[in-house]
Amino acid sequence: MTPDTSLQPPSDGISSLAWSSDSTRLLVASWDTTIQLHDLTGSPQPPQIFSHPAAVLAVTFGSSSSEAFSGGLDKRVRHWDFTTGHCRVLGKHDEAVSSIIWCTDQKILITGSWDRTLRVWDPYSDQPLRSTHSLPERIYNLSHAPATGNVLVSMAHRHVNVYSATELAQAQEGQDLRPTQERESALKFLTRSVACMADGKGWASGSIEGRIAVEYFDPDPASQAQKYAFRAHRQNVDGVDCVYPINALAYHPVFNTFASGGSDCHVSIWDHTAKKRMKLYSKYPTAISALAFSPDGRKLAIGASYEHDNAISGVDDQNRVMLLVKDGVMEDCKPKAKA
Amino acid sequence: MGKKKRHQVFVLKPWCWYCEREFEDDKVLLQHQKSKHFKCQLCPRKLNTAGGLMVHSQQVHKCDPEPLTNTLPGRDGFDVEIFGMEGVPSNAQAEWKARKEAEAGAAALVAASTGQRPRHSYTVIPEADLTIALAQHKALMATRNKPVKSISTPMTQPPMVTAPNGAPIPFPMALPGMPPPTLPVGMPGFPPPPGFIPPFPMVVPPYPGIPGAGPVPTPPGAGTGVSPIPGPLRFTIDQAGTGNFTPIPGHTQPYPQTITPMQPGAQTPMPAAASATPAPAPSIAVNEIPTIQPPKDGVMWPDATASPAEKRAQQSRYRYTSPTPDGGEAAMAGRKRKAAADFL
Repeated sequence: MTPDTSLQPPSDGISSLAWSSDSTRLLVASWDTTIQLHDLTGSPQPPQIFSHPAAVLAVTFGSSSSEAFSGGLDKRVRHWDFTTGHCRVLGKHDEAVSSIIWCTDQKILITGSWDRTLRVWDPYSDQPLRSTHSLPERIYNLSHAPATGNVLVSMAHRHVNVYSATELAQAQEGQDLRPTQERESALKFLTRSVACMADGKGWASGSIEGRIAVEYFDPDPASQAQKYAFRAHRQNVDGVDCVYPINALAYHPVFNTFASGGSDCHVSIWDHTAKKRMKLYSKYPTAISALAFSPDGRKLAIGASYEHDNAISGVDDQNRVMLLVKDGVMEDCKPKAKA
Repeated sequence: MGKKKRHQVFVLKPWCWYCEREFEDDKVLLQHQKSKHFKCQLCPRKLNTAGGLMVHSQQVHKCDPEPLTNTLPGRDGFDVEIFGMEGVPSNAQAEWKARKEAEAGAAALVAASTGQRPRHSYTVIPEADLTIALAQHKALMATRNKPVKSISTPMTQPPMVTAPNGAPIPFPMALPGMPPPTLPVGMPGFPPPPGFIPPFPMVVPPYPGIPGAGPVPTPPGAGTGVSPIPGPLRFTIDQAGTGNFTPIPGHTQPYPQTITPMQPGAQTPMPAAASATPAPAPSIAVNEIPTIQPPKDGVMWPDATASPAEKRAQQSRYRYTSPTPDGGEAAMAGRKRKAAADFL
């Protein structure tokens, strides 16, 4: 078991991680108002740092590994060109941008914000904002399943909407697109994280109350009957069952198993079809904030930092920020052959 | 205490007749006897009694048993049938009891003789000790208050500082526009009472006595920028808080500068603040104090209406103020000023 590679972490909590499509570059968004670009091809180097006026909550690569999009508490959506270091503000939301996804097939950028809107952008046009869609609640997470073209929007108060990426790409400004599905989360508590399956058939969601649900897009009752939830990221401390928020979920792009990270400082790998945990990695010194598998499935990037919940008590641990890359996760994520 | 001890004299623990060892309870005693004394030498079998061992030896191994093992001299015979505490000869039991009583009595005596002295001292001459303890406590409180010090706005006047006419200095919060009474320059300032808690500890600390600095002139109403006194001195602590003082001319100073002693380096005694942020605002400070103890019900994020990130974004250090891309130090200062102004 090779130890995790440690990269130079940002100076404050990690909010989001993104891999470039060729798995050579890793972008880290941080509450320290920067995004940091790590190049993992050669020897470890300090990252390129791009600063923002406020904390960054979301980051994603564009079609190539030399462009990216970011958004955060400054409400603006930014387009970064790493070859020139140039930044262009595409536009803004009325509240902080909480999540960003890039749809490679449709060449559109979708942003979700605490202002209860979903905005679709064409970064290469003179008028980048394509359309705005209002939603019932503050958007917490977006996840995109390229295999089926579904865009999953998770919101406060357990709202979950499903959109079609093609419809979002075609929507005109002023048109308020109806979601393909409007649902309520299978979990009884605030949704903290979501991740679409690699095969696009469903998604996993984690709540702030130590529980993970697996749900399916297909509205057919047979598929819906398959959905389930289970407890995870809990600990019995001195007789009290402690429940931790599940801060991060990520599906393995090859094996369709998923990793979860919680404020209990643990990372687990789950097989949702076998309904089994395949791996529990040893405990990290602080909460897990973000997880991302590299698109080739070989590496798992782990952002560990205090999530400002009640889980981390030591001041040292609260100030600790770690950025790790776990190599050789192929073996850990491969589903066991059925006996 | 002595009563309890005397009571314990009569509680005899179970003990093993064969080796005179004491045990916590009978179960342990039985285990001990089986494994130490009633173990067959020829096979792994352990028996419950000496008689059992003899029968076992004769029937299984067809031989007379070896003497019992691990016993005191003379107690290795098979004539006494002992099972735990049962079967112990009564004379041996009485002897044991007397011995234990003697031991316990002696111990109790020793305990009583040593134990009574401190009990008396509870009521005797604590006066000198008290004064020392009080002095220590005062010193402790003074060092605690020290770093949250700014001479800008005395929130409360030291108890003995009064205007020459005897009227107490008006509460500085009401000062703007009101001419502050003059104060004899060089009049010693007095430290606040120990344990004094400033009403707004983070931003406008009171005027604390500077420990070790000796008397310090008190400029009343210094924070207002109107200083009727010719040349009163202000003191700030240098950043490291080492106790070196820099006199600052007492004339008008822009408000934010008067807060300079509150840089992170000087903040250490408030653990929450030190850990949380370099520039906490008072209104949000409550949010930024991390809950050190895990919650009783084990729920790490009990709020069902807002995510941790949303709450976090409301902290002063993450508050978004201006769209200027380079908003490092300037934005910090701006935020700090705004926070202080809001609060005043």
